[in-house]
Amino acid sequence: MSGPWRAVTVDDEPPALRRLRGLMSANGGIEVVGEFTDPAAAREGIAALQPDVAFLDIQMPGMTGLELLASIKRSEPDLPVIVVTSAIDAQTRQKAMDGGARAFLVKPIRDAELLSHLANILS
Amino acid sequence: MTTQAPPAPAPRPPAPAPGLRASRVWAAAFAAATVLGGLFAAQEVSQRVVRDQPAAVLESLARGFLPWYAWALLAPAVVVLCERLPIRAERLWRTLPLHAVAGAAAAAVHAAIVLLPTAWLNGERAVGVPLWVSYQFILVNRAVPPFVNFWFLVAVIHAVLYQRRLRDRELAAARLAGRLSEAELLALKSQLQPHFLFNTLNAVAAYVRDEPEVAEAMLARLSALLRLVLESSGQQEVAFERELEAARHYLAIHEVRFGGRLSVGFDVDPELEGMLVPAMLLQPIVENAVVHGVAAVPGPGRVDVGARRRDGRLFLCVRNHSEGRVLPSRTRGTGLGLANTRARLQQLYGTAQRLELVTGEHGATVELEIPLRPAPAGAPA
Repeated sequence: MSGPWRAVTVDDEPPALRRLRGLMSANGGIEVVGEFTDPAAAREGIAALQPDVAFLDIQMPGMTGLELLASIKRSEPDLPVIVVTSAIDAQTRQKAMDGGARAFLVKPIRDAELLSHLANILS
Repeated sequence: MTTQAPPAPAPRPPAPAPGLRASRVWAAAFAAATVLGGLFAAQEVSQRVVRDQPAAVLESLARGFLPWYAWALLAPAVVVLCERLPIRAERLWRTLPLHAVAGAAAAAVHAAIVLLPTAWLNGERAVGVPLWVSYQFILVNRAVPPFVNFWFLVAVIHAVLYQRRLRDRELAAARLAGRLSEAELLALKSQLQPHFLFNTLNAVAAYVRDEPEVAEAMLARLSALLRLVLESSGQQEVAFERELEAARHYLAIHEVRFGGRLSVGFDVDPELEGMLVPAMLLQPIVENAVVHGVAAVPGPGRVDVGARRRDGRLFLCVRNHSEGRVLPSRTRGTGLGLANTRARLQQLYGTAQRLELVTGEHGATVELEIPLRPAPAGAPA
């Protein structure tokens, strides 16, 4: 994996954004260029920032992560998206993968799992 | 401020058992009348045989069955009387005289029912004795046995009604226990559900390295919350302060998770903390406020928990308000989540409780009132 890669994270819970930032800064090579708690703002932010990868939570107010994923896939079809959620049911996972997500991470996030997915996506 | 403990409300009278069904009363009464009538008819025949009289089977049957079938006809009216005016120790001097009057009336009606066949059987019709004379004769000479029979009937009906009330109480107690288990399960599910637990642990992980004191505080609150839920297991009612403590932990965890988006307020009359409330009362209401009112709505949101004494009752209000509009699709589960709480309140307090949910564009308010009862010493607190 060569960098620096640029990531955008979207989650309505600030500690979850903090967790992702901490994991990525600790392991180096990935810079978080945008953090969003509001999915509508995230859609515009992603278009403007043009990151290499985006992390989306699923349960968010106003617009779900799956709706945001669909919207991103229409405007940025090549952007790799990793869904990060506490929902562990197979149905949600399937919906995310069907919607075009490249990976599905379950909270609490384990750094080895995160890095393995990133290595696959960004290499 | 004086801290006079409010008087405990009088125990709620047991809900009246649903009335005995008329068709079943008729069926039982005619069955019993047939058995008794058969016995008396057999006795009539035996007496005739012993006296060397002709058996006169038809007449004996008529004399045996007639008075009991007349009682079978009257039974539903006596059942209604016993249901409306049950004889209870605390109202003995009011109900006994009324039953005595009703017994005399029943004996008079019974005499009227059996009048014509009796006059015919006795041969009074054949010799032209006027009916009213026959009626007078029955009333004067044969009034005591029907009066005694009336009391016998009243005793049987009371026994049946008492047995039904007992069974209904046992059923209600079993249902209540079921509701509590359901509420416990729901509360456990909501607090131990993957979404809540994993998000909380993820948030804890976010703070462990740089702000360990925040992580430590969250873990302490999470474990205190889980302990309170597990300790409430099997309790029907607990001290209000216990419910408040669980709600405070739950909301404080959410405050950290939502950053500055969620604010929380408690305005509780401290005197109420020692009152008894149903276990797991507050949890589903507060959870609804957070999940449907704040988490699902963009922008800042607030949850307020208020409790005060009102007209000798405990008045509880949980209000959530968001700056953003609450979409109806996101609040669909709100009413359903409260259904269990509503059913438990109904079973615990009957009509002496109230639970209302008012939803608006920017939030919802749940108001409830329950009787004010101080927790006895040693109650879970």
